[in-house]
Amino acid sequence: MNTPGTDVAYSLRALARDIGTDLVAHARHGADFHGTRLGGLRRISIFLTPPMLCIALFRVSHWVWAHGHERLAFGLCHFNLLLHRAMLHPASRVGAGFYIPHTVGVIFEGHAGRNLVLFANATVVRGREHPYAWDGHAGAPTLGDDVVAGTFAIVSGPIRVGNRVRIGPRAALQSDAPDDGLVVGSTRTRISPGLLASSPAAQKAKGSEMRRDRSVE
Amino acid sequence: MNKTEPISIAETRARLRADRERLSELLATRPWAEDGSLWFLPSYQCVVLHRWSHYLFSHRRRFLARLLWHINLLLTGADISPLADIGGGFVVMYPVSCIVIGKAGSNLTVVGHGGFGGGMAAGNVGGGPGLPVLGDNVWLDLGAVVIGPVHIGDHVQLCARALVTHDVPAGSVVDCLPSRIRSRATEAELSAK
Repeated sequence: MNTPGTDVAYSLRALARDIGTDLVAHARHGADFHGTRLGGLRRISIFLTPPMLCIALFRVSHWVWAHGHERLAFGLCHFNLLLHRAMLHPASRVGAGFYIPHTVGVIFEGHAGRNLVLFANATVVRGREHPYAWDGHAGAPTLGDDVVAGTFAIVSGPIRVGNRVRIGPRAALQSDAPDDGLVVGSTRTRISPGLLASSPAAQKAKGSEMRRDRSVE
Repeated sequence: MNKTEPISIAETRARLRADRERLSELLATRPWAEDGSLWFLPSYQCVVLHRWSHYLFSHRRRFLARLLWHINLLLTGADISPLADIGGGFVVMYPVSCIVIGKAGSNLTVVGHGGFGGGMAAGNVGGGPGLPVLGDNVWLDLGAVVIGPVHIGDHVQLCARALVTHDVPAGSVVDCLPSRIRSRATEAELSAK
């Protein structure tokens, strides 16, 4: 049940608390960059990093959606898309501690528990339906707590992903995954040494190499 | 490079009408199409900008065509070349990092994060040295990619992350291997990841 306007219990205070927890998650994951002490000025500086701004905008758009202003929610979502190149559907419910290190190409359309991590170009989608046809009801993936989706991962369809599941880079998950699961992509890059050796370009390169060798002698 | 044949305003408008109709069908469950607010959706904006960019390009208004193309890239994140000749009913679901150049029939669907385009050779749309030609009702799922001078038949579906570099006959479904689930990872595996 997440059609626009059905979650008016989601208060501004809860919104601020969620954003605060996200900020702490960003500080924890990015301790090398942000340092370990979280003063007021440091919090402001973390808030103004692109990933954190992206998540804050998403949270606000979800708040607006939950209070029944669908068009305004999509306006904020599109502003987010323009600024950060991430499509975070305003209907999706995500627990506190949401972390996106690199926002480009991230698509999220579903529900997730706490401490979700989405790497660049990770996508969580409904599958074959258009994103703007979603009203927040069933059909979207539901992720548990502490899920990590690697770069270029795809999670699609009305599936259930358990707690602490790790979805590897380039994996395509289209079925349920149990708790503590590890999902790995099954395409492996193969290297064929010298396969193009007979191509004209390679012959040419080889010729120039030989000439160079001779000049060294 | 190949020459793009001039396309009429009427044809461009007809294609845009087909785009709108198809999008309205897909969005039937929400009230987007009723009051003209389709214009606010990036997945429609990128198609409109591409249509006029292609129109201008085919009439040798190169600067304006490039301007619209660039605006499209800035606004929606979709890189749809002015060269691309795409039939009516074109739908892009997630425009970010969708890259399209070549020729396609009607009712093409590009979900996102992929597309179709040239390999290493130049031009000649028609299945020639560089660019792919797609039939009607082709569906490119998330991250599916078609590269090089290939023919894709009608009603072809490419599944997520599919990579196609040779011809595909009409009506086929191109699969990519789904990921395996190894449940119950050990602590050592988790820390190694």
